[in-house]
Amino acid sequence: MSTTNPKGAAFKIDHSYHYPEKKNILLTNIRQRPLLYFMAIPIIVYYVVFHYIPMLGIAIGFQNYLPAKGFLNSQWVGLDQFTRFFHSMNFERLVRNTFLISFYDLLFGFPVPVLFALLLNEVKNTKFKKVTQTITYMPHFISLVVICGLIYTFTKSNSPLAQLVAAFTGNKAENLLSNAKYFRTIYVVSGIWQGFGWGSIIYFAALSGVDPTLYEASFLDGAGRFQQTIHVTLPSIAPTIIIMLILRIGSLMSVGHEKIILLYSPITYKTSDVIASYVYRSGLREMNFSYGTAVGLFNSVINLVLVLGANWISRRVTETSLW
Amino acid sequence: MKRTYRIMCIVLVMMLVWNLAACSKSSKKSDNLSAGNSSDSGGTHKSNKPAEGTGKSNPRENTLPITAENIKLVLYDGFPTGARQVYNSMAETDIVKKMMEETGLQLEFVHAPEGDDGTFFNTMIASESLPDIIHDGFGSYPGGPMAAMDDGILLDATDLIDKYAYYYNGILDKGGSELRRRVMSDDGRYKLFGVTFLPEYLDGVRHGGFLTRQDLLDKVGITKLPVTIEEYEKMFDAYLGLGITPWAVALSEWQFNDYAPVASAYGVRYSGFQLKGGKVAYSRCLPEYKDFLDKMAEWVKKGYISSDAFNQRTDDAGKSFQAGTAGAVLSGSWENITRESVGKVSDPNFKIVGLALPRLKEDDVLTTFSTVLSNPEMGPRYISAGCKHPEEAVQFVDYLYKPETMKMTAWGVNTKEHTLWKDNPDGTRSWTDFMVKNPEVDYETMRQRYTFNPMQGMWDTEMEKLQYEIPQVQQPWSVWSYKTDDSDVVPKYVTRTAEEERELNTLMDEIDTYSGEMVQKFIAGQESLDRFDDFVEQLEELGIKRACEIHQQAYERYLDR
Repeated sequence: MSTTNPKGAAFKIDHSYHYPEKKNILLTNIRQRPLLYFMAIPIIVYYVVFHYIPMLGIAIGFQNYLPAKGFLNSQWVGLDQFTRFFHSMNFERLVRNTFLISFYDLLFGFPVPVLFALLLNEVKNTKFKKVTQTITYMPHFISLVVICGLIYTFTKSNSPLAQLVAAFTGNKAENLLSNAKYFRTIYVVSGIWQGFGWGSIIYFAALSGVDPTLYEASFLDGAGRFQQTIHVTLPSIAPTIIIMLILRIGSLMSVGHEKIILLYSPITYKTSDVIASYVYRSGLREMNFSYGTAVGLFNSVINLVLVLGANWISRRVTETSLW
Repeated sequence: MKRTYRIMCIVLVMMLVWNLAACSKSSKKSDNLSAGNSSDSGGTHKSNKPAEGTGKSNPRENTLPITAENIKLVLYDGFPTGARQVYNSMAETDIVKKMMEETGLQLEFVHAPEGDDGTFFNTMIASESLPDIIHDGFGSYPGGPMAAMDDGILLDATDLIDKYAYYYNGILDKGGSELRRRVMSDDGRYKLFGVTFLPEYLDGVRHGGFLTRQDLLDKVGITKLPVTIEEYEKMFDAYLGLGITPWAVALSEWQFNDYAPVASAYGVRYSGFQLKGGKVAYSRCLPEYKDFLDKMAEWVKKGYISSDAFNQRTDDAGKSFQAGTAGAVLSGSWENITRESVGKVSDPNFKIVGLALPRLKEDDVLTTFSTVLSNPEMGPRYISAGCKHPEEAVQFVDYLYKPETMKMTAWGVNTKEHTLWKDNPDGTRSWTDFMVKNPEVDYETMRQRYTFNPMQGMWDTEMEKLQYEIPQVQQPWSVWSYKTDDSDVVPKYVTRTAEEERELNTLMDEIDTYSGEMVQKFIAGQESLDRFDDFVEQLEELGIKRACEIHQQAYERYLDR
């Protein structure tokens, strides 16, 4: 209230000033861009309805579920379905086949898109690059059933491939799919052929994001092409590679049953029977939904452990991780 | 511009949301159905007590139309491939339209997709809304159809059948007590209502077996059709000389099991349970099975069977035969005509000839087949528990046994557009050229399009006999049943309880996987047959004896029926 002090006004405390409250970022975002979130609603609803709510169905893995009695009235049996699976004669074989097929797919199939992207990146002719890319990712769009039909025809005993193998091994030409030894190879190689083009897209994208000045700097330091690749390119796309690897490890125990069932037959069960195909035969056919659910849950738990483990290792070692 | 862009986005999102809403609406509808079910089936229809269906029924003759009200029945039924090519469902065919006219019912159909292996049926059963009439054996349901009735999925229609099924009971009365025994369950309920009966003239006829080419036999100079295993081997040797695969076979498919080539020569089946000395045994444990495996392994080694046999499909085997790269094949009589007509395209001399199944001595009787007898055969029909009009449903199924209806489903309906058949002055009926000599479509497909085989109450003797006139069917029929009977077959009308079924399934899972794999390895020569005894021992460890016991108990109950 002193009007004689001219400097007083500057020191007047404004009691109406409040520190900004901790704003809810999500709400402000929604308020600023409502249409974006509005567009996301159907997808969110889709995931909730078709993926999260059905998770409650896991409970039938602990029951003797009969569709007539329904979920609430079926008998609860605890871990019986799981023990039936663990004690089954083929348990080790199933787990081993599932793991090995996935592992080989990872070991041989994972580097191929990366290498392909690196190699094609070096090519100067853009038209050649584009045409090659298009051709290589066409097989991805071919239906699995058609692919298996192709494999089926190419492995018959009178096919050139079978004759080639026969020439190498010295045996009579035989149908390659009826030899248990070749099954994993056929499965993995055909999978690689089908998927490497499509899988390389993400690495191309990563490669295009590499800072060109790094190349210039390394060139000035006297690096040749190969050294540039190892010391500049690879470290730059390393985060992408690691993320893809973690995701891949997360589906290590989930060999899908469709391709296996299309290609296998009793004579190759030893190397081809995986968890999913075994459960398909015994679970759905005899309508034992509980058994199938229990085994599926087992699969998913293992996959979860693997993903968490891979992520943790990655975070510790490379400071790149999914979360 | 920005405005229209925003509007487009909103419209697209609306469409997405609307789709989801449509999904939820249909699930609400089925909720209503199931809510209706539980109140209905609580009282009258669900009866656990066995009803007295022992031939003392006296149903009145049904009149047409069945109903004057607008009643709709949903049917789950078969959809032949030929019909699939031109119709969306059987409701569009002329026959069904005529049925709807005559009965006054609205009929809607649910069909499994092409090539389905049984999963469609299983998922349908697990869903809330079932069709009213289901045409399926319920073999994949744990405990079978009787358990489905106990669980409240199916209606125990015994009372209704006694009351309304006039024509069906007529057939049963003619067949006597043996026929009644086959259609009933152990506890006196109707198990096989709505099934297709086979006419008597088909007793003992076999519908599948070996097929080879007469022109090839002539080429290699074999004049007598092979009957013994030795003669077969001579024929195969000669075919090897011609540079073709002697026998194109699909070892993993049902035909190899059903027609039982080679296995029957040793008195065993390839896979499954059979009778031996009056008792149920697992064929793969019998000592004769080893001899069968020996012979098959020998044939593989000699090259009579190629390594393709283990994973190829029957279609592929048939195609090799038709293309001329294989000398012999297993075939069903309905496929013979197609085989020859397609074969003629590549080789005009192509002429098929059926062979009697191989046996050790020329006059051996092979005992392990399920020969066709005037049985209730394919596919019984069950009324679902939620059906709102069970009396009309039962009457409709019974209508299929009316003589006029049976003639209609066998011969089709003559319309303004096509004439399928004509009545001859001597009282017989025959196909027109449109059906038999159609330039675009073969006979079998025509039959699938214009007749309705899944709904035949009993196969029409006259129409079936017409097939006799076709040599490609007549000759194989006569040789395929040469000295065969079914004395070692476990009757398929034996039923097991739900608990027995569950135990059996758990055992047979592993047994089937293990034995299927080992047997194919034995045949391929990848496993030495000296290890056969170890194989049997392992099967016993897996519990095969308990499985045989369960089958034996059920068999004895059947005999007591």
